Amino acid sequence: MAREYDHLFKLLIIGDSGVGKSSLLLRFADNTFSGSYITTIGVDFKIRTIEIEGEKVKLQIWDTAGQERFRTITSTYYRGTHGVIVVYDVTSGDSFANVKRWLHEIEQNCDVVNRILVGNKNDAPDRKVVLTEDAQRFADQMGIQLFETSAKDNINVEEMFMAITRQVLRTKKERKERQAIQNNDTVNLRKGPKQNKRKCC
Amino acid sequence: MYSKKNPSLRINEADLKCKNGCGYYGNEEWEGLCSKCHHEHLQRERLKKTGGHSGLHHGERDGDKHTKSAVGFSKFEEKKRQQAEKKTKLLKLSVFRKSSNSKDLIRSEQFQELYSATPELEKLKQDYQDLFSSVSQSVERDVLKSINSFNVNVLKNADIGTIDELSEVVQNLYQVFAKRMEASIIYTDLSQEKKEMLLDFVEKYVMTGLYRILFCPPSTTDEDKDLSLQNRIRQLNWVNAQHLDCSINETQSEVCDLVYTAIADIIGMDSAKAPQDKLSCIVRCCRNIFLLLQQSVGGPASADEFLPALIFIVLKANPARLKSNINYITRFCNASRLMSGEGGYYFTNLCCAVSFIENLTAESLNMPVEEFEQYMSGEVIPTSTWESALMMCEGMHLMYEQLATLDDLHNRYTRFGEGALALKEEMQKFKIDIADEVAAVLARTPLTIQPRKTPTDIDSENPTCESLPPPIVPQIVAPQIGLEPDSVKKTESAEDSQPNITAAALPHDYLSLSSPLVFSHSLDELTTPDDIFGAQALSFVQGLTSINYDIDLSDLSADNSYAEDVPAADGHKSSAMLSLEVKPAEELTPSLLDNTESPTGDLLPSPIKPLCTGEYQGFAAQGWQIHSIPCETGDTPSLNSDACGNVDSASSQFQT
Repeated sequence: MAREYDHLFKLLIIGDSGVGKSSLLLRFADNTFSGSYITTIGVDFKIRTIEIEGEKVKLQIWDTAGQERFRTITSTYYRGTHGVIVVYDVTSGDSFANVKRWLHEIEQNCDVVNRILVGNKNDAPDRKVVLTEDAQRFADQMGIQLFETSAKDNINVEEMFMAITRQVLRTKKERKERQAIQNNDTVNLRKGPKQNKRKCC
Repeated sequence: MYSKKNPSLRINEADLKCKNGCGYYGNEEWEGLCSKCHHEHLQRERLKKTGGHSGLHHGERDGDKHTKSAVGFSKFEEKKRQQAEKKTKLLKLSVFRKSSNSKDLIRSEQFQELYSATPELEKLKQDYQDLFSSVSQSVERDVLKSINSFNVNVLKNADIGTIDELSEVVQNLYQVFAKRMEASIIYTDLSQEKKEMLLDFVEKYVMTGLYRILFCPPSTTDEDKDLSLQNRIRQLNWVNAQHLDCSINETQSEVCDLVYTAIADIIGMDSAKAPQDKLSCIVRCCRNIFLLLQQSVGGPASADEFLPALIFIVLKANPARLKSNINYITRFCNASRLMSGEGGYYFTNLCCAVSFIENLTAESLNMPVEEFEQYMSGEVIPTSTWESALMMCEGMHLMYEQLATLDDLHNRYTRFGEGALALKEEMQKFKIDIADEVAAVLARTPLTIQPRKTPTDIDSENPTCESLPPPIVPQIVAPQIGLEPDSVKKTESAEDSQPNITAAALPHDYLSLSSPLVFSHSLDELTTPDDIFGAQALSFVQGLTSINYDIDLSDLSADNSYAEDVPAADGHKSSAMLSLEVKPAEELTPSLLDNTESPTGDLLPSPIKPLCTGEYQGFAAQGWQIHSIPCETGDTPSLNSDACGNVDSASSQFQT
């Protein structure tokens, strides 16, 4: 195929306000970080194509508003989402406590979706309040992968996005295989409309 | 940008509202009323016509119109739906009939109606002309065929199913067409990009054509929702950026501009027909919001800031039929577009913003319930920075505009002043130049005054010896250059002898100096002097004219006379000399005078000679004057004739 990518996935970043969702996105898509200095790039809707196992995967990453008051209305974002990145701030216990609620929301909005847990701002050990062990235990309990990243120092960001992409890709392939076994009617469907209409102007 | 956007907004705010003042948007088709008020208006009219007992009812209605408007409106809606159902039944009947008769013919008629009703479709086709010219004809035909089958399918289902079923049908048709492009051999050699463009075209074309049927159909409650949302937004008009925690710097004029642009974009969504076009309006609006957030925040904006800003924009814009538009896009836009891509992202955000507005409570604005209630009921009006910012911006804008005008005026003034100065300088320079030139000419002219006397001498001679042309003159000079060895030699010898005989005063150097040029003149004879006149300065001309006379006269008189020849030859020499250098001419002129005087005295002892000497002064004066006219005009071709005239007049005078 002449396309510049083999797969197109939509990823969603959720998490409390101020945990660094946008910074992660910026770091991944533009490889920039805007902690203290001013940049001209706006985080809106980011696209990046990466290569995994020899296949080109185009990622569309949607940023969401994390404020409490928008919590109930963000359900529309989940439509057609392949993977969700749940972000918390390792220096904020509250943001970690809210992770459970975010995960619950994912469950409510989509049936099968790949998730990944990300503890951001992992660059100041003295300010870290969410211990890696606690987070890991929680992740294991929920059956999701955990990554501790720093958008500021560019630690683990690339790896985290690769991991969720790989996960999404695996899910897609599994589903495809299952589908391939189930139906062989594609040929009939294609020829269907062609035979029907003859008249046209 | 600002000045353009602003008025359009004002029109939207003030002029588009229902004339009845109920707050809804009016429509020109309904005499500037909103649908509800227009309906009431019509009913009143009808009641008036029927008159009688219904008058009481009418008054009652009119009295508490506003309180009962909701009830009235729902009644109206009910009626509308009933009418639609009736129409559907009729359509069903007609469909039934169609199938029994020649189905295709009637269908094509239906399409004719569909297409002729929307000239936008033609425009759309034009827009995609490039695409179709790049694909083969079979592809184009197949696409049009697909569009037709698409239309047929939708029209068939439009009468039967609910809007959701119809949406499903449309989404299925998109998929069918996409699959068809993948499978059919017609499309195999098309690139993915072209296929997407074709799909885009099909979607646009079909949706633009079916817009009337699919947008806000009477079978749904979209219009109700629109009205309630509009009402809700109007109630929330006191909400400002601070309430939403959104960092819009309202007082900054660039930000204000962008707010206006974003508002205009989202309002423009209602006027677009195809779902893609509506989406692109949203995308434009959201991009502007990001821009203004960048201005306000001073860095990249994230979704945490974007969503409140979008809510703020929607609240301030209060776009017409927002809910209908959102529903229309959700139902009939290609679903894959909505779930991914920039358009999808922003559309999702818009949906969120709308649902936030719909469910907005005191809690979501972080304020006490009592305060919220007070604001909602209109008891307390908070000081809105937005309104004051608007006012301020207005003033600032005016000020800036006027400053710009002033600047422009100032620039023009300075430019004008510079121009005037330059002109003045130029004039002065011109004045000096002219003065200099005049002075120069004046300085030169005294020199020529003297040779002017010579023509009088010659003139005086001319009449006396008209029969004495010097055809020998050319012969004299020729040999020196060696062009005519035989004849010139003779003349040379003759010339050599001439000065010796005629004028002893003529210095020998002159001859040798002037000879090459004299020679050329004499060779060309009469024509050459003219050319020289043209080329040479005025001062020389006078000296030359004198020569001219000589030659003319000498030509006329076939006879030869030595006396004539000598001055003529000298004249030639002088002119030639002058053309080369100026100084020799000065030297020459006195000698010329001497010369001319001498030959006249020596060689023309004719009966006229005494006369000549007697009237010499007076004649010279007159001849001088007449003579000078053609010279000053510099009209060279006329010189000869003038000279001739001069001679004539001179001769006539002479005779008298």
